[in-house]
Amino acid sequence: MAAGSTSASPPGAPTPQRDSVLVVEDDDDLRELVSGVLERDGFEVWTASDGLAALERTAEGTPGVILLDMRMPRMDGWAFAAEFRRRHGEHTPIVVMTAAESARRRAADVAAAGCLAKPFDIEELLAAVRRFVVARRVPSGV
Amino acid sequence: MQAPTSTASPQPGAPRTPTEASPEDLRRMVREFHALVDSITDGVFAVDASARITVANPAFARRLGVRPEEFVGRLLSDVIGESNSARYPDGRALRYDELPVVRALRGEVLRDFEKLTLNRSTGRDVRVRVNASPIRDDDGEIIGAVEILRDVTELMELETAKDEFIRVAAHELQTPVTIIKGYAQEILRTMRDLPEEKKRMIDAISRATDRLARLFRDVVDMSQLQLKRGSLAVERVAMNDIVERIAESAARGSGTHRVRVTRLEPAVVRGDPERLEQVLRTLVDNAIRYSPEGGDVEIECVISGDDAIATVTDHGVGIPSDRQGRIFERFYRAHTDTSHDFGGIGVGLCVARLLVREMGGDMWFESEVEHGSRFHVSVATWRADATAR
Repeated sequence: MAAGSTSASPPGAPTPQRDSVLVVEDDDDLRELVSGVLERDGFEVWTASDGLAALERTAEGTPGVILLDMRMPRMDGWAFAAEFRRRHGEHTPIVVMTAAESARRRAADVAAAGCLAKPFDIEELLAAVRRFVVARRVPSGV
Repeated sequence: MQAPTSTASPQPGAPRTPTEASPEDLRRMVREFHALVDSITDGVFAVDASARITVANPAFARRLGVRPEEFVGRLLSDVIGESNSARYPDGRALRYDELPVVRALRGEVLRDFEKLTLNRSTGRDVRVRVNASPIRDDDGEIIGAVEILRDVTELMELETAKDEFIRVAAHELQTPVTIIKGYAQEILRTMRDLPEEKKRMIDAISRATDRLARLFRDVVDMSQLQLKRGSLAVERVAMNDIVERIAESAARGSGTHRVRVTRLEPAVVRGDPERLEQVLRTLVDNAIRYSPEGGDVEIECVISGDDAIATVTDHGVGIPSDRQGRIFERFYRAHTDTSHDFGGIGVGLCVARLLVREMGGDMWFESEVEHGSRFHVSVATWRADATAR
């Protein structure tokens, strides 16, 4: 996806950040693991510890892809996905991160573009993100 | 009742046989009989040969929320006709001739038959475990049938609570396992100049977490299956695609084994795609695990009549013949305490066969020690199933 498409957004509308990844996960260590891996691979990473925080974080602009945990306090993944879509439409792909035995079902629940069954491999995580966004540094060689 | 004998004279105070008994004795015997039956804490229910109810003790009546008087002396069909609340555990209604006591009248002996039934006074379902058998006279003629009911509702609720606990606990363990595995892999990925020895240590951490994760998945599957039967999807599934996909990923994952597809016929079956994949993955994992020397693992998918059959063949350690009868049992592990003990908790095959049978299919195998095993999975093809309906 082209990073330059942001300029086409109408004034006042949230600005899509096509090369960014939003990680929504309530476990601090897991959130840090995922965001650290993605940052080291050159992605711009936003984080939120629950659905409400994620809504706040996306008020000013939407990311290229959302990695979403399902069970979280305050606002869970189901509620977040519904509210996010209501506000910003269907364009932003959501990748569900959840326990293996229910991953596909949860993904279907929120019409997700993909799922990462815990415990996932680091390479699986990177592949899931690379399907939707291009890392800033890697293609540009920075 | 015993046949009259001319020799044995009754003990003082003991009930005499009916032919010798006085009317007063008979009344006392009947009273004692009823006192006996009424004080049994399991439900006791009996009918005569014409299916007229002869005994319904208080424990039985309590389970169903009725009074014994409402039952005794009436035809079972009349009582059932008013309100047949008996159902199989999966919710299917029991027809009159499927009732344990009616089957017993036909000569069957039933043990631990489970059914659900409505308690009319509480309006709640009761789950009972029934033993039923015919009552025969001295000539062996069936003169009635008796069933003993035990209330297992509480037991089943405890089972459900236990399974739910296991499910939640295993679920909660996924996050820490993801973190351990993730950092182990991330260290290997980012620290390329790590000494070989350290790399091996971290690699072991990564593999161990994978094993942990598989154990949790098996435990969860086990409890899920107990929790909700009938929760599988019913879809058109291309079994040949699944076979191909599994063979590919297995071939990538194992350095020492050659995993290959030997025959692949197009096979659209009726089943749950994810679960079918899980079943075949279990078989391929096992084939690899129990071929410690490496070697070939062959997978094929063929049509046979109305079924599609997938077969996974290995040339590994095989299963000793005296253990073959038990390998589908829950928690059974054929190689425990042998040199071929490669871990696991003994639910993989059990879950796999439960899943296949839930889909209306079956699983079987042939195996020979030192020569390997062949596991087959058959599932009805979509077309065959459609015409059968």
